[in-house]
Amino acid sequence: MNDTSHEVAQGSHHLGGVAPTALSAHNIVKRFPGVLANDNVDFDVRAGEVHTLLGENGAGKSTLAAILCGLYQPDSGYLLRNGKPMHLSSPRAGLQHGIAMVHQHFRLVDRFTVSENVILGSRDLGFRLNRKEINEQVAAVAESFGLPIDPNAVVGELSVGQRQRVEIVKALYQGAEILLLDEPTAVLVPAEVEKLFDNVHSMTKAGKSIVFISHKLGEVVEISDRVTVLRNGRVTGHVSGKGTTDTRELARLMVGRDIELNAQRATHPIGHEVLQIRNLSLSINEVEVLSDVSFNIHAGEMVGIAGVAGNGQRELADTIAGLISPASGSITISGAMTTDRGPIQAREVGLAYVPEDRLGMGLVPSMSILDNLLLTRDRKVIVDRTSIRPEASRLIDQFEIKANGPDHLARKLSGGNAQKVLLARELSGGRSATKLLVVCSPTRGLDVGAIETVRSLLNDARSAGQAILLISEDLDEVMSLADRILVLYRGAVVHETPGATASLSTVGAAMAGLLENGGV
Amino acid sequence: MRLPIRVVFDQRGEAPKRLTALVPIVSVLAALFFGAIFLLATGYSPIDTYTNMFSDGFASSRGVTDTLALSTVLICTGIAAAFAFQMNIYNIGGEGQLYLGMIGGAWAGITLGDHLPSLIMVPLVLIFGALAGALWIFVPAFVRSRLGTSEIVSTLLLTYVASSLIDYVIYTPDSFFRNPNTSFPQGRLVSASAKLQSFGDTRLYPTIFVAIILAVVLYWVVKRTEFGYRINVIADSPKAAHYAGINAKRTTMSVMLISGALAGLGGAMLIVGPYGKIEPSIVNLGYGYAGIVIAALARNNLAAIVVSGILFAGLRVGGEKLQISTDTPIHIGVMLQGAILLFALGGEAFRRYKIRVVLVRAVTT
Amino acid sequence: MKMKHIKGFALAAVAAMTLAACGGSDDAASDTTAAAEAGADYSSLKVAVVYIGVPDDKGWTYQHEQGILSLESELGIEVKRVENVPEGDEAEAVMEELAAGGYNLIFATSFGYGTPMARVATKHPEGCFQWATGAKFLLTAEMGGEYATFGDIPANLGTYFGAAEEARYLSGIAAGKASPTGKLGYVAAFPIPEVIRGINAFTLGAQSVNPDATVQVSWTKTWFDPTIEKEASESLLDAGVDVLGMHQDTTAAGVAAEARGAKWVGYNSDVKEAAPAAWLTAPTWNWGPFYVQTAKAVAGGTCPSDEYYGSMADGMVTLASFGDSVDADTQALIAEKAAAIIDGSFAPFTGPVTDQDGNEVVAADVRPELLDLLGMSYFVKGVIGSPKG
Repeated sequence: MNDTSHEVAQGSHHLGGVAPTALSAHNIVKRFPGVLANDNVDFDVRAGEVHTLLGENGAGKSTLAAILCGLYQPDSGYLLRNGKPMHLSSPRAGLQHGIAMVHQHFRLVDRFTVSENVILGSRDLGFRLNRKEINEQVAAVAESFGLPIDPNAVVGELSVGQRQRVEIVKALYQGAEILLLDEPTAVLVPAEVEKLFDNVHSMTKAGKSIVFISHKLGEVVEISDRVTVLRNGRVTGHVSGKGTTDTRELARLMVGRDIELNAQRATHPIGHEVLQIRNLSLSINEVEVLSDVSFNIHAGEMVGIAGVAGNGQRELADTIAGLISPASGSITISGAMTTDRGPIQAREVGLAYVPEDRLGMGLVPSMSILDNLLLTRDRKVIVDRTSIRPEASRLIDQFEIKANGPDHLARKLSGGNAQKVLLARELSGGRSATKLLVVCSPTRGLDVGAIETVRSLLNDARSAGQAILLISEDLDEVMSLADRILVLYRGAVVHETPGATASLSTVGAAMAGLLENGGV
Repeated sequence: MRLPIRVVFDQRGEAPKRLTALVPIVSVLAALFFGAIFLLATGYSPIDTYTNMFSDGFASSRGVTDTLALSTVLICTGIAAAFAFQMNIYNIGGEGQLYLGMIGGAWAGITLGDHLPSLIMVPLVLIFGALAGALWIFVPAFVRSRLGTSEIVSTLLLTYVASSLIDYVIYTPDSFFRNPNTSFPQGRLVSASAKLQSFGDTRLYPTIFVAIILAVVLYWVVKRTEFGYRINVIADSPKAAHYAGINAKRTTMSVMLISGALAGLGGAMLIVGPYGKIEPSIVNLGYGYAGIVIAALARNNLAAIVVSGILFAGLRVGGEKLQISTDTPIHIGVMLQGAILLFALGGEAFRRYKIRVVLVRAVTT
Repeated sequence: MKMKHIKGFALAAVAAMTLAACGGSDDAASDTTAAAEAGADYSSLKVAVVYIGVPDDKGWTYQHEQGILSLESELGIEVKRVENVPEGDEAEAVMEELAAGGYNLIFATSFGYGTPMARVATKHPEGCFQWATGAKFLLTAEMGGEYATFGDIPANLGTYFGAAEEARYLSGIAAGKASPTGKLGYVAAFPIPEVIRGINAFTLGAQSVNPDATVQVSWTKTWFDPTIEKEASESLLDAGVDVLGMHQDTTAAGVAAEARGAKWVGYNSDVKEAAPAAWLTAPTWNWGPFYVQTAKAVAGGTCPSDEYYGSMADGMVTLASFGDSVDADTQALIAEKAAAIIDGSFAPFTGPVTDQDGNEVVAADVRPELLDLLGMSYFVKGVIGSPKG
């Protein structure tokens, strides 16, 4: 099955062989109800190269990846493995052809050890497990690709980067020759991204093929041998050669127009104090998640919170929004004490909150845009939808939300449009005019076009004199937008720096906990 | 060798509107078709059977009123179930709350005496029945809303307790609810002013209007009011409710108490309607459990409960009478009822998924 | 599913009327026979029976079905059966449908059919309605019914039942003889006079051959639930009883006894095959003669409106065949007692009878009034358990 002795590359886009084509897809068409996810797509990957699938959310790259690994079957088109036709009825069939997918959301059992997770799902284990032998095998596989990992470690105790490594080792252990990495950097801090890229290089050196799926232009340019760009289910460009293209060109292929990603920090006056946080501490299940946090934000100022996920950012936002009661400390919004008063009280003095979890927390998926606008407003006993309808239509226009009108269901919105609805509601004020806007990961998962819009909306809000707390795991975003940056590590503010003069390495070190005594 | 075909279930993004209306109809037709095969195989004429079942349950004047009479209590237990289900609260103890409604209604009907006019007495009996139903779900509602304890188990267990309670109040020699003049376990009759007159020669009581109006009003409450808005938010996403400052505990509590009250009301309607006293045989009729099926048939749409409740009642009445109009054994009637319900519920799959059979090309590797 | 034949009587003044109506079963039998023989044309007769269960339940409904079958063969007519009819309001719909459909003799085989049947009887004076296990005075307002006085109860409504206690006494003899320990058990449905009377008769029968015999009662609060009946049986067996009697509609007690090597007295039907080794005998019903007589009377233009109370003498109450373990001596003894019951020289509750507390409830050599029997609410000495459930 893995016979590589002869190459039969019949693809129409044969690029001349540096290495034999390991896997190719031809004329792939895949429809979902109402969507043509892949429209006559061709794709191929050679042994020993990194071929990136680049595209916005909804461009069809995940669908194509799912077809390549056997998760979906194409409506038409065919796959060749080493030049021979194959039919993949399931991911297991894909694995038999040496194709494995490392999903964005890991599929590991937290309570199992690394090697238990690695062998999970392997068929030919026999009745008894020889733990020692398996540990050795797992360690050997990991070692040979420069992925050091303790086979006996319990997965639940590993960092996100380490868990990703376990997923990769698992794929390699199962004999994968072609690895599909779905948005692998989305969950990693900068240092971990570097390590991942090292691993990718050692895998390609060993002759493995990597299909890298991403929408982050910078890293795509850095890692890829070739790039295939998808837009609306079609291939809009093939680009080959490292560094031979710039991000601007790729962005144009992705979005179909020129865009400006690095919104400028506008010069603007900083006003009076809007948010004041004093000595905020919080424990959940006896674990301290916020530890003596103090800071303030002024009108027209954007404060960015940087940090690796799980260091208290979400809890900080929820606490300010009145969803969690802190163990100690105080929160004052526009001079009114809101500690412990609940979300409605906080909103009445000017809070607006865009949570990280858009659909399911910020928006009610089964409700219309109109009803979602009512979520944080005063609704009266008999809900008055008539009077808010014109405003809903106006906001849809103003925020350029792609929807069939105010009755469009939230769950049928794309990620970017859902985020726009959320921002539209929160920026337009509800129980009072918005004075403080708390936003969490406002651009996560959005396509490039939407990211541009969302960032400029935040800039506009700041210019309009709103105080903004920007919490994001996307360090670039925080660095490029915030007037002031605070780094949260294990619930404490470990570093503070003005945005304009912030150094990536110092902030990165603070995020990794290497600066605990420095900073503030 | 595998068959070269596969059945593919493609999830629909959103069920088309016309399908939502069409599926129940097609489901019933499919059930009738399935039933026809069964009838033919067992030597009965499908046409005769269906004609008679339909006319016994829906078409004849006696059939219509008998069906509506039975549907009165079924609509109550149906909206009781659906009202909670739409918030993903599974009150499956409507049966027990119905018994309590009978007990509460009987208590009011006996205690409040004869001096009150019917116009006051009947509503009081209904209110006390509803209160008793709400009381019966209070503990499950409290622990569900405060501690998140599964209401499925607690409401079901309380149904068994309620069933014992009916036995207790009827079989205990000195029970308040028992006729004191006989050692025979007979329920004590409520005062005459607590009883309604049925329409003319029929067994249908004005309570049918109360049931239908309630279903429509509750439908409106859910669609149009702040309370309904809160229910919809919590149903879809408790996190969004928390985010918006909606008190989920209080709403959960209210919804469960209302659900229990509605089932209790159904029990009280039996008091002011046909029975006038606690009938121990109520524990064999399964009106509360039927409400769960009726709610599922209506896909928890409160207004649609009126239709599914009447349909269910008609099938039951028609199925029973089928033995009279034809010689079809009761098992056939029950089987047809079951098939129609099963197909109607199974039709959901067609609404949610597009089901295709595809040919798989031969694999040559 | 099966709530059914509950029987009991009040000691109220109204009962006097009832007693008069109950009269002797012989009168009723001879009246109807005479009427039927006068004209043997049954073409105008349309008979229907409303069953609480299904005819193949090997219990209560099965016995009625046997009676209906004999009615059909003897009169050469077909009877409409309506099965699994729930008691209460829905039963009224069914009976109304029957009456409107021209059925002019309708039997209803469960107690809970009383009110609906009376309502339909009122609307259809042209029909004849017979309510098994019923008692018409319970339909009066004083007793919680819908008729102001006894006289308002429709005259085209009759009731029928029988003295199962006679056969229960005899089955008690078999049980007493079969028990080495003298510890008997009884799986009982509801604490109502009918059941209490049966337990007492069974106990007195057992004590007639073993004066120290005791009967431990377990209430199931259900007529028909194999699981609960089985559990109740097993808890009695665990407590050391070696013979089970019962007042239930399934054979669960028999199966439980068979599994433990104990003995069993059944009820309703001759179902030795359910538990062949455990089987002793069973009090059973023979409804055929009543159904035939009633149908003949209605064909002759008379609707019996009395309260028929059958017995071993008229054959409505019988004893099933004996199990292999019942020896010839015991069988002879039972046959002797049965003959005495039938010729009237013996009655099960002949005094002295003392209750659980040792009070004499029936004086020596006295036979209690029928009303006293029918309203019985005490347990006799030797019964373990409470008659209040």
